[in-house]
This record gives sequence, structure tokens and C-alpha cells, in this order.
Amino acid sequence: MRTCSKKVFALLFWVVFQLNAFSQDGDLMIETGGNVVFHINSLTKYNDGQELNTWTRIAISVSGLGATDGWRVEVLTEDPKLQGDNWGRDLDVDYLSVSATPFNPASASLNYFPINTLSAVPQNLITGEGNGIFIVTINYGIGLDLLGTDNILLGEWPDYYTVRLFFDLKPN
Amino acid sequence: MKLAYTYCILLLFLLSCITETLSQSYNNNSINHSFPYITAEFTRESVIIDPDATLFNVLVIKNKGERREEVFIEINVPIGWSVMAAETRSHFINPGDSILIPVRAAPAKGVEGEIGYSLIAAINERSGENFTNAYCFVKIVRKSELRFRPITRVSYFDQQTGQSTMSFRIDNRGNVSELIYISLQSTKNVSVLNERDNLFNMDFLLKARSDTVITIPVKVVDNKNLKNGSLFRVDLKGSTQESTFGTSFWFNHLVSNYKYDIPESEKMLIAEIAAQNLLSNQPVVYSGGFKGNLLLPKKRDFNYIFYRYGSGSADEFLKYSRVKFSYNTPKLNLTIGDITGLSLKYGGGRGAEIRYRFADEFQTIVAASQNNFKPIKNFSLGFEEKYTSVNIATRLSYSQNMSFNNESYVANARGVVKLNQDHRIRADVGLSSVNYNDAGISAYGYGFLLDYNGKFDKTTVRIKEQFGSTDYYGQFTGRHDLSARIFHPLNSGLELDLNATDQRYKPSIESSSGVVSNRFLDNTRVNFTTLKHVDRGFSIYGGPIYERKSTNTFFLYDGITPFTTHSAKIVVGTRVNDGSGLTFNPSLTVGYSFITEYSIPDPDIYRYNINNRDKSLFNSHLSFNLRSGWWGTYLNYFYGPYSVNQEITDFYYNINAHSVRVMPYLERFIYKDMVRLSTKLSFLYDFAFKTSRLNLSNQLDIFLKYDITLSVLNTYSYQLTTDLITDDKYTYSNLYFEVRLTKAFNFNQPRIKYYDLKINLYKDVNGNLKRESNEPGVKDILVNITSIEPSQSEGFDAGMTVGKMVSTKLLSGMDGTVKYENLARGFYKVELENVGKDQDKYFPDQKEFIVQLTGDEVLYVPYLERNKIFGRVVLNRSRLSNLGRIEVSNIKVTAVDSKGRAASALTDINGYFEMYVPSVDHYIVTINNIFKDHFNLRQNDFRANLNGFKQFEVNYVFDEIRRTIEFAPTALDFDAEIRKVGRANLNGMVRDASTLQPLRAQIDVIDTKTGNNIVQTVSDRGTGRYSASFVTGENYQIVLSANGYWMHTDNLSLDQFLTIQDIERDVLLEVISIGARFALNNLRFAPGSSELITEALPELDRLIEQLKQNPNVRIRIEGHSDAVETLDYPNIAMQRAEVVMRYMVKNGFSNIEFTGRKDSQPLAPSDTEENRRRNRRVEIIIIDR
Repeated sequence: MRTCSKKVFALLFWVVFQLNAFSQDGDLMIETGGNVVFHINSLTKYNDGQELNTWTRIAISVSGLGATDGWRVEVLTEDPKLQGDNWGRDLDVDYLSVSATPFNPASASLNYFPINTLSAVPQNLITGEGNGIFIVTINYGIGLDLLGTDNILLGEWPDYYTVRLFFDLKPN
Repeated sequence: MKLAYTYCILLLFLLSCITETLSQSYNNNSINHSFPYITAEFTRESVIIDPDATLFNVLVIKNKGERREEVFIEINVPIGWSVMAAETRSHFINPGDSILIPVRAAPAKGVEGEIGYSLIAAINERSGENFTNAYCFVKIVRKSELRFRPITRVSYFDQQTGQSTMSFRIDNRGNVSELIYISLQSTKNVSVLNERDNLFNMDFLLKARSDTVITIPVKVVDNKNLKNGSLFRVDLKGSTQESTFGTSFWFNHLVSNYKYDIPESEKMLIAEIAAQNLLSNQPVVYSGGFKGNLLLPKKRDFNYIFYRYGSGSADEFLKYSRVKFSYNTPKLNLTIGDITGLSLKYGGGRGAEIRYRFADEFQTIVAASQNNFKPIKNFSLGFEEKYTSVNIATRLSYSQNMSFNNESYVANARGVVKLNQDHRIRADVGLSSVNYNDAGISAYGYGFLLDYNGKFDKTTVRIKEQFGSTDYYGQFTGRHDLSARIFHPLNSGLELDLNATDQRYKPSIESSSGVVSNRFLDNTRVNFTTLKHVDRGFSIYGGPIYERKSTNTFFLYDGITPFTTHSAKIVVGTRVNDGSGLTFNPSLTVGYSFITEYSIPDPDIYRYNINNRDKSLFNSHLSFNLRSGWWGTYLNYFYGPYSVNQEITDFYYNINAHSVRVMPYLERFIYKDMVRLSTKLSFLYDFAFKTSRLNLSNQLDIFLKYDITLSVLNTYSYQLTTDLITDDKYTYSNLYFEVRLTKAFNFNQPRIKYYDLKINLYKDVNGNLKRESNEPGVKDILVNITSIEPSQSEGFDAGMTVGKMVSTKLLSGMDGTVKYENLARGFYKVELENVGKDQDKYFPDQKEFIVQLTGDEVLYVPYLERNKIFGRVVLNRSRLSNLGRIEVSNIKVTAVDSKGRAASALTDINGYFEMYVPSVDHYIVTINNIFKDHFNLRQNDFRANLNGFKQFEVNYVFDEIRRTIEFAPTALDFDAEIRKVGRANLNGMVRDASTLQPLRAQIDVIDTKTGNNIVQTVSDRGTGRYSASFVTGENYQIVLSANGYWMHTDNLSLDQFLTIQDIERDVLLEVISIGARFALNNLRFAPGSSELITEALPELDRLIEQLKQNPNVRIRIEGHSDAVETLDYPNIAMQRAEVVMRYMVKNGFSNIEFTGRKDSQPLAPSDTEENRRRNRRVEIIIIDR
């Protein structure tokens, strides 16, 4: 029997990086922030979501391309669901949002596409051209009502959810 | 010689006589020990009875010999049993004859079940030699009734020792001893004494009709890292042979200090500075900034953030910074800085946004921004209308992108309709137009979103479709997402979950000549999962999965044929939670992917014959997730391609995906609540590509005083890749250090101010209500504090608001203090509860009070020592008492002070009681006089003047009312010619007194001492004869009753001796007639007394019962007195009638008149005491019917 009582919501997320680079000429490396954890432990966070700005910094190393050869960094989740630990009630990954911002001057020339709703299908996060070392910071969000996406966590089952997040560097 | 011969003959004769005598004696002895001709047996050798029932059996004794024998029968029963047959009696049995003796036995009170008892009938001869024995084996039916009651539900750990106790009571009300097995399972952070692996087992035997209280010590483990209010549980499971029971005991860990963590949203200033790239070859980067929220009266606030990332040149100070300033009122939101709320493809930038609410339902939005790094400018104008069930929003945006020299317009509309509580529909539509000035072309795009949430009884449904065309210049460009879910829980703990997702993406490349998109990635997945919650901590799930993956984004794409696979998989898994926070979730997914579309690459550059490649690819995924509160690990093993990229690699390059991922982590405070370590490791080894990746992140947070946090971040990355052709290995590693210092300034806000509240609880030894240095604190006081809304409190400045605070409990320590830090200004209700050992001895001046917190406050709460009133109940028993054992426990003693406040206590098993009461002027202490029928209480109301005294003793003395017992036979006994016998066979005839016709009447033999009905029988309707047999004790009464006739009673005063007496008693019953008199023969009075003696009550009760059956009968009760006592007590006759009247009314018959006749109608002249005794009587007269 489950009793109803005052309790603190606890909804935790664990996001893990794995990087796939297209060849020896291009690579992604995590400088910091290889793991992302959201602690949704208050009603305010349930309602408004939580942001982790500039949490991760990755270095995009591209070489061996022509000056006008394009490349892209795609982001996707390994699974379309966030897997819960206890109840088997998984959540859609579209609660998660990811965006990137330049960190070094080289990365200022890149194109950034904020992704309001993640999916298991790769989406362009960054596009660029030519060689260089581009350092960018990655921002994360969960349960944010970005442009009316309505991804409010309120009502979801308190649990410990996990998903693995992939960043792929690919040539165009 | 002749003499010698004669002597020899005589000697031989004597020898033969002696020999004969010895021989006879020997033979007799042998016969005495066997007596084969006397047999005895019970007709039922074994009997099963209820513990409350009596046993009936018949003893059959047979004489198979040839002479008449006298046998003495002795019935032996277990101790405490009573037998309703002459325990010793003799019978003569003729040769070949037999006798039958009925035997009725009653088990002892409290007899145990499931024990073999035996009734032994010993058949003896007169000398005591035993002829034979007969046995009847008796089994008492087992009755199990076990009651379990926890005495403590929630207990609190002692702050110093970390110990507590749990108590419960087990009451065995059955008739068998129960072997009780107790198993205790403790959860995390709590341990039961002598437990092993969180389990503690015990068993014990609890006797029938007994109870026990068990107290078990419990200790908190590792309480240094526990949060205030942490609750822990010990589960108890108990079982006996036939029953199980269980419950949970809760333990609360409370501390005496609480600090309200002011949320960041209420802090005026938080400053941060960080140094990055420490200890590396890269230049150190310094970053920092500040943020805060200024809370102003009237629900206005100003929040801001400025953070400099530390990269870029000095002239780009703002470019690489995050800047945002917002001013908010109930109607206006003004934001300057980084704007993200524009529904445009490149919507982010720096600018301003204004939201203004004209009314609760309507607001307008105006925004303008410019991208920091690209020549992109955005403008937006929107309107929103919000109603209870309908929400409509429209927005028109304009964007100018100089990178591609284009201008775009986007129009959005959104409608949300809430049909009712269970159904909600949302629809978004967007249209865009882009003009590429260089190319002179225009592109039009669109997007939409449909979202439905519904609930049908228990079934929840969500369908969401989102689409954006490739040319669409709003959000979601090039994407198509369809997700549908149907979830249905069944009552049996089974859950059915159907999920379908169809996600498609067409990435595009934009240039000044437009958008080009020639790639696509499709992923369709349908899975049906059945999940079964086996119990609270264990569930199992499984189901099929279908996937379709299709893409043209791969290296060997021929430009025509995409690569498409269909997969069929099955997943099974469990989710285990041990209740202490440890979860273990293994799962296994296996299946095949079938390649249905693929391109055939140029054979010149591709070395495999694609047509020989296997089109079906096996894949599996094994996952183990283990997690506790502060550590965990994720282990994943992949064999076979899992993603479409891996399927392509497998198919075209014959590289079968094969990898393992291990991701352990821990996060916990390693020093009090000051130092927290967080370590996360992610390791991948790809067997196929011989690649390993490792990422180790460590973060050490040190929480210092004054809200300063020092964080040290460290990331170590290592990567090893192998060229599969040359087998060259490439490694890359990176070590990163960062130090971050954060300081929060808890300035009091204009709207919310924070103060500290300290509550000092002390023993006010001298009672002056002031804390003296020698007055110690009160330990283990539970303090609960709750904020009160300003509207509930008078005198509060309505212009200010208070911080919300949930009810927070603290426990006072040795010094008797609790401290709350950072409480928002306002009103608080403080409640005090003593949960310690001294909870009866000290009491607070006020148990509950309200505090208005307008500054740092220290409250002193005196605890006064309670005064003790104690004593006992003393029973002065009469030597002649027939009341048996009298319990003196659970008698309520009440003390009421001068203001009417009452305290009470119950006496214990020895009659002792004690209660602790506050010190007031005096108390009136009374006891609930439950013995008034049989005892006189010497004094009940005691006045306890406690002033100057700490303890007051009150003893209640009860004197048993003495009764006159007639030992000598009365005249009535002699009149009835009744002898005193051990066993009586009562016979007689019942007839109508007028017609002398036989009557059918009920005959009851009543034990006048106990009121128990010993024998009940009825007379024969035709002959009027009746008979009854019973073992006699002392005084009995024979009661004959028949419908329409007066009940007839007679005393049988019988002393027991060893004979059986037949008693003949013929009775004439009188018809109930007006004027008839009914004498209560058993009701006798002492001179001058009107007390109803116990012996008279059964007779009165039966009369009342008979009268209640004839409610139309109206009686008059006449009291009589003798001539002597009438001189001193002229009203005693009336009082006797009144006493009987009151008793009859109280017991249900009220059609009564009563009067006193004094000595006017004596039955006998008052010349002797015996005659006077007969005259002291009460008579009942029928006056109406």
C-alpha cells in the first residue's frame, strides 16, 4: 500500500558523454563536465525546470579538410527514453534541451543551433567549415518551457533516470 | 509315645493350617492385585471438548465374579478441574451385574488446549486396595487468539548516544502456549541490537492467557551524515503456528540546529570567480561574475546576471559574457541582455524584451535581439490570451541574416484547449517566408505541433506530432517527431505500456542561395512493455521491440538507395530495490536487424562482395545498473550493432560492434557537512575498433563559513585509438584543473528579511520563570515551528511578505536549546512536545505559542517540575468474604485543580498509582469507586495542597461489607426435613394448589452463594414428577416456576458428608391471583438494617424475571420490621420496601407500589430472636394483573 504524505520530489538525471569522431583528422575531447546531473528536488524546479549553463567544455579538433569543407557536430541520445530505475516508467528525452556557445575566438565563427527537444535521431548542434581547434561550451536544460515546448516535469514520476548522450563530429 | 504321636499329629495339623493360611493369604494377595472379575471403563475412552464446555461420560463397572462386591469409586481429575459426581462413593454390585455412573466434569478455568488430560476412576475395595482403574482421555480444543500491539510507533534517537527503543506488546488470549517467532529487518542507517546483516531474529514461548511487553534497543548508524528529520524504519514480522503479524517502527533523527538554506532566487548577491586550465600547458583563464535577485515590496523584483567566461580579448569583454537584467512587476517584465525567447531559427542574441499584461488574461510581447557572433538581427511581436480552458498565442517575427543576406518572416499561432481535467489539446502552427537577396529567390516553410493528453479511467494516452519543413525558418526545422504512448495499469500490479516513436530529421545546409537538404535520418521504434510489480521492491518487465532505421548519410551512399534496416528485439529486465536505497537493474536485449535496402558500392574501391554479406545482424545489449544513495555504477555490454552507424560498419566493413562501458560514480560528504566529493568515471572500450576512452571528473566542494564555497574541479581525459589497417596507435590525454570560489551575501531583502530564532528550554527549579545559571536545560523536547500566514496574525505589516517555510522539527540537546537560522520575518507557531524520559516530570509554561520574528530572537521557555500525587488502593477483606480474588488494577484516579483542569492515572496490578501534575493551589483527588456494591470507601475526596510540597500521598481504603452467614440450620430447613448430604437426589411432584392437577414446571437448583444454576429440569406434564441429582455444597435453593403460577422457592441447606441422600419435595404452585402474597424467604435483615444481602439476590432476580414476563401484574412491596427494632427505627420497614423497590426498578420491573407495615403484621410474636428474624421481612402482594 502506498501512502500519501508530504515528501520532497526527487527526480535525478544522469547524462553521459560518448564522442564519435569521423576520422583521425577530427576529434572531440571533453575538457570538463563529462557528466551532467540534474537534481530536481523542489517544486520550483519541477515547474520551471533547471539550467546548467556552460557546464561542459569540449574541444573540437578538425584538420585535413579544405578551407570550405564543412563539418557538423550532431547530438543525439542513445535511446528515445530516459530510463527510470525503480518503476519502469520511462520519460521522453524531449524533456532535455542542449545548446552550445563559443568559448574561444575560433569558435565564434561557427553556427550554433539550440536544440529545444532532444531525440534519438541526430540533430545538428554546431556546423562549421575548415580546420582548427574550436572550444565551445555546452549548456543543458531540463523541463524548460522553451518557446512553449511545454516540457514541464510536474506530474512525472519521481525516480532516478539515466540516458547516454552522444556528440558526433561528422563531415558534411 | 502316644503323647508324642498326638503332639506330632497336632503339630502337623498346625503346620498344615499355617500352610493353608499362608497359601490362602498368598492367593488372596494375588487376587487383590488383579481382580479380574471387576472391570471398569468409560463408555467414551477419549473425549474432545471446548475449554468452556463440560465433559460428560458414563463409568461402567461390571462384576464378573461370583460374589457380591462392594466397590469404592474415586474420580481423579486434573488439578483445578471440578467433577460433578461423588468423588468417592461406594456401591454393591451383585455377581454378573454392572452399574452405570454418570460423570460430568468441568475443566479448570484457564485450562490449556492441545494437552492430553485424563480422568481416572479408581475402583477400590473397602481396604483401599485397587480393583482396577478406568481412564477417560480428554483433549481440549485448541483456541488461538494472539494480539499484537506496537507501543511505540515513532521514536527519536538520543542525540548523544544515538540510541532509541522500540516496544510492542503481545497478548496471548488463546488456550495454548504459542511459540512466537519475531524477525526484525532494519533499513539503512539503523541497526537493531545484535543484528546481523540487518536481520535480527528471536523466538520465545508465550504461555496461554498471558502477555508480554518486549523492548528492543535500536541504534542509529553513521548519524554524522544524516539530515535533520531523516526517518528510518525497522520492519517487524512475526509468526506463530497459525498466524502472522507485522508492522513497521519508525525512528526519527533530529538535531537541535536548523539553517534555512536561502534559495538563490532570494539572494541579493552571489559572486563567483574561477581560474581554469590550472596546471596545464594552456594559458590560465580567469572567469567570474555575479548574479542576484533584489526582492522589492509589492511583488516587484529585479534580477540580474553577469558572467564573464574569460576567453576572448579585452575589447570583446561583453561578447564572451552572459548578460541579463530583468525587472518584473505583476504587469511588466522587462529584460535586457541575452534573449532566447524568439521562435526563430537563429533566435538567440542580445537585446531586449518587454512583456506587458493588460489584464490577467492578455499580454503582449515585444522583443529585439542581435546575435553576438553573427550578423543576425531579430524582431518579434506577440500577443497571448490566457483563459481557464483556452490559451491562444500569436507571434510575428522578423529576422535579418547578413551571413546569407536574407530576410525572413515567421508567423506563429498557438492554441491550447483544456477540455476538462482529463483531456488537453494543443496545436501550434507556424509559417515562414525567406527572401534570399543574392539569389533573388524566396522560400516558404511551415511547421506545426499537435499534442493530445488524455486520460480514460486508468488509461493515459499521449500523442504528440511535431513537424518543421526544411525551409521553415522557425524552430524544429527539418524535423518530424511523432510519439504516442498508451499506458494502462491493472489492479494486479501489472502495467501495460505501448510506446511508438517516429523521428525523422533532414539536416540542411544554408547559404546565400537558399537551403539545401539531401540527407535524412529516420528512426521508427515501437515497443510494448509489460511490467509486473511483484512486491514493493521488485518488479520485472519485458516485451518486444520493433525498430526501423533508414538513412542516406553514410560514406558509401550511391545517391539513390538508402540504407534501411528492420529490427526485432526482445527486452527483459528486473528492477530491484532493497528498501534501503540500493537499486539493481539488470536487463538484456537481444534481437536481429534485417537489412532491406542498401547501395552497392563501386567494386574498385570496395573489397567485399556485397551480395555475399549476411543481411541479418545479431545484436545484444546487457545492462547492469547498480545504485545506492551515494554511489553507483553503470555497466553496459554491447555485442552486435546497436545504432544505424554500427549496422553500416558491420555490413560494409565487416566490423562487428563489440564494446563495454563502465561508469562508476560516487558523491558524498567526506567531512561532516562541509566537504563533498563527487567523482564520476566514464570508460569505454571498443573491441572492434580497439579504442578506449576514459573520462574522469572529480569535484570537491568545500562549504565554508559565511556562505563561501570553494570548489576544485578536475577532469582527466584519455583516448587510445588504433588504425585498424596499420595497427598504429594514437593517444590523446588532457588534464584539466579549475578552482572556483563562490560567495553568497545574505543581505536582508526589502521584501524578505531573515533572522535567527533560538529557543532555550530550561528547568525552572526555583519557579521564578527566569533562567538562572544553575538551572539546567531540558533535553529531548520536540520543537516544531510553522510559519503562519500574515492574514492569520494581527499587527503584521501587510505590505511585506514572509518566506514560506514548511513545518520543521528539532530536538533539544543536553543544553536544552534549539536554533533556527535564516527564518524569514513573520509569525511562527511554536509547538513543544516532551518525548524524553522525563516527559511526565516537567511541563512547559506553554505548550504552544506564537512568535513574531522581527529580529534575532532568543526565547526562554521554563519547564516546571510537576508535582507528584501517588498512593495505592487498600482492600480490607472480610474473613468470611465469598468474593474471591479482586483485581485492583486499572482503577481511575482523577485529580482536578481549582480551575477544573483534570489529570488522571490508572492503578497498576498492585493498586499503586502515581501522576504528575502542574503546581497549582490544590487538587481534589478522587477514585472511581468500582467496589461500592461490596466495599465501603472510607474517604474518597482528598484535598491535596501542593504548595510547598512536591509529593502528596493519597491512599484509598476499602472495607468489605460484612455479612451475616447462618451456619446453623434454620427452622425452615428443619421444617423441610432436609438432611445435609454430599450428594442429593431430588425427587418430587408439582401440582396446582387449587385443583391438585399435575403441572409441567421448571425446576432449578441454585447455588445461593454464586447464583449459578446447578441443575435444571422440568416436571412431567402427565404425572408432575421430577427428579434431579447433584453434588451438594453448602446452601442451595430450589426454584419451581410455571407459566401463570407463582414461582416457588425453597432453601436446601446442606452440609456435605459421605452419603447420598434422596430428597422428596412435593410442591403446590399457586396461580397468580390478586391479593396473593409472595414471601421472599431468603431476604432477611439484620436489626435496623435495610441492606439487601447477596444471598437474596438470585431469588429477587428470578422474581423480577417472572414479573417481566407478566408486565401487567402490578405489585405492592410491603416492608416489615420486628417490634423491638421499630422503637429505634420507626421507618426501617419502609426503607426495606424501598430498597427492594429500587432494586426491582433498576433491574427492569417498575409496576410497583411500596409501603412499610412496621410491626403491624408479624408472622410470629417478637419474643425470641428467631421469631423477630422471621418478622424482619419483605412481602410482595399482587394488586392487579
